[in-house]
Amino acid sequence: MPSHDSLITESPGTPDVAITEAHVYAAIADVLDPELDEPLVKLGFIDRVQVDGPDVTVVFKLPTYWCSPNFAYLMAGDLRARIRALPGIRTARVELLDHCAEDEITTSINQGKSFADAFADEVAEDEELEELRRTFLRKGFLMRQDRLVRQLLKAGLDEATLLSLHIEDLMVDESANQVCVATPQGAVCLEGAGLTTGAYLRKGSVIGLFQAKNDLLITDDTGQPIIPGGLQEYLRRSRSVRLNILFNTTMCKSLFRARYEHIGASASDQEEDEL
Amino acid sequence: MYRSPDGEEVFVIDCHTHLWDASPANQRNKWGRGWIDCFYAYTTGLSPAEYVWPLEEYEKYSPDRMAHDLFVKGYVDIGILQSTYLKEFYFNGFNTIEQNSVMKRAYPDRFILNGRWDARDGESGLEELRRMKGEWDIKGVKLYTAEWIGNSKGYKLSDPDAYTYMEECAKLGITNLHVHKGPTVYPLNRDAFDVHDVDDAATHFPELTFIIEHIGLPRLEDFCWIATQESNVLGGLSVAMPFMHPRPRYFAEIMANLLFWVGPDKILFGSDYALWEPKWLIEKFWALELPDDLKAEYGVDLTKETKRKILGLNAARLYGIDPAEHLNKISKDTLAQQAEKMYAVS
Repeated sequence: MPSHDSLITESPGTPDVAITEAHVYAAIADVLDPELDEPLVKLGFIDRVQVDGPDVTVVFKLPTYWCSPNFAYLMAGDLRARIRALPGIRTARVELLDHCAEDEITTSINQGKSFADAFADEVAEDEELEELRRTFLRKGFLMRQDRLVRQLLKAGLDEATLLSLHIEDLMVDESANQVCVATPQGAVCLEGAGLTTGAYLRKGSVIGLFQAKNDLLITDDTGQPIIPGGLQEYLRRSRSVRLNILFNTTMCKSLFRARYEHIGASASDQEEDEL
Repeated sequence: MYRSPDGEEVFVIDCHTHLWDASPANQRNKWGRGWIDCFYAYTTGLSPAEYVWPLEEYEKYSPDRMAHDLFVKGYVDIGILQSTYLKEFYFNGFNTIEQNSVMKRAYPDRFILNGRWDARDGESGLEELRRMKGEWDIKGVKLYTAEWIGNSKGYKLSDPDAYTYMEECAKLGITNLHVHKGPTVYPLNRDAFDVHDVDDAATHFPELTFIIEHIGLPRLEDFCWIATQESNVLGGLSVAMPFMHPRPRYFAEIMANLLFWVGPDKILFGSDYALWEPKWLIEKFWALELPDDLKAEYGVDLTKETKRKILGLNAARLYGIDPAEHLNKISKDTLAQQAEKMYAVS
């Protein structure tokens, strides 16, 4: 991220950096709904961004009045942290709309309180919230892995080859949505698998995997190798995770549309995440 | 009774129904408003348009309408009333056993009336449970572990107080515990959808049956794991089933996954009426076939036999109902006659 000073140099004559709505959206672009493993901006959960000189407010909303406050608190905290890091920022404010705990969450998050302080009667330790975040990062990893493995198997890679691949055996080109894999039989390039691979590798590094070039590509979520011949058995578990996240995503999107756009279900909705 | 286009006659128990009152007059506060608005979004977001009612009617509907939607239009033979109190949100409760008993009184052979308990209610709650047993001979309860009472935002089945209630259930022969483990809010300090407390309880009370409503969504993988480990843990399909409409393939894959892990004998049909109407759920479910790639991958199939189990036979087993005998009993009632007329081949 560019430092405050360098940006000032780029805008000579202004004492401070002019923050724009676009800056704010860029800064919060990858804040996730932890449960759905998708960015809030993409989900449409950002109601509006208000920029008043160096003062920025981000207002967000969720699919239901009852969405879990713990997840809401994680999202609110992440949003605020991103706005606070904007060059030239003076006050960073986050507001939650139309929620059963909107007052508590909005007030507490803007005072910089931890979750346990905000809900002192009910929450003993903040560690639990961070554990929740880690649990869902791992689930996101398993979902992305399940997608990738399916795609690679479908493309003709066999199980033994797949389990022996290392990070350095891959050449990922997301803009062309392509990944080339160096196998013992030679290089294989797979069209349409670049984005899946990129998404998988990013999530893996977030949970601490893939730190070295010779790390295995396919391991469990703690970095342990899959037992040879045990991939199908392993996938039975991870596909439940994938199904569940996709199910939640579909449910939350339907609820959000019904709530805010008054759009009902359509039998012709695309099942875009199918494999 | 559902008569399918392919000529089958199918016995149907709808395991999850309510006669609720969420009208503005009964709403105690903003939570009561928020609750029913959220329900309405579930309905509109996942139903075919022709099954979405005006909000006002949805907030409070008549016993006549309910009987018609379930038994005349909706093919259901028996409905199970699942009592959900929410007295912090609604003055008279959302659908208490008293409210639901209106249906049981009017159509005694068409309904199974379930009670409820809450682990935080102490001795008076136990007394109330014994009263429900005495008055209605209840065989099951609905447990809503995320209910708000004063400052408390819920309890767990692994709490010692819950054990006292489960011991009482075992003693009274209230053997079917329908545990709501779907979308909930509280408690805050952990994953609110966690189903592990059911695992603990199911191990300790093998004589009780635990039906995890909404198949543990949104924690399907945990539910599958527990239901595989514990023979007395089953899953109710309400909330999951309407996905057949907007996302038929997801639902097919959910079914394949459930059949793989849990098997055909431990899955129960429920509409969650008035959230969804049984008519279209049953029609679509009967017509549903697993795509070949899913059949191959999971090594399971959704056969007619399996559908019969899910739509009625599994619940009949749990509640000690003989389907043939029961069909005989209700085949001449007014509702059956109306249904006969409605679906008569002209």
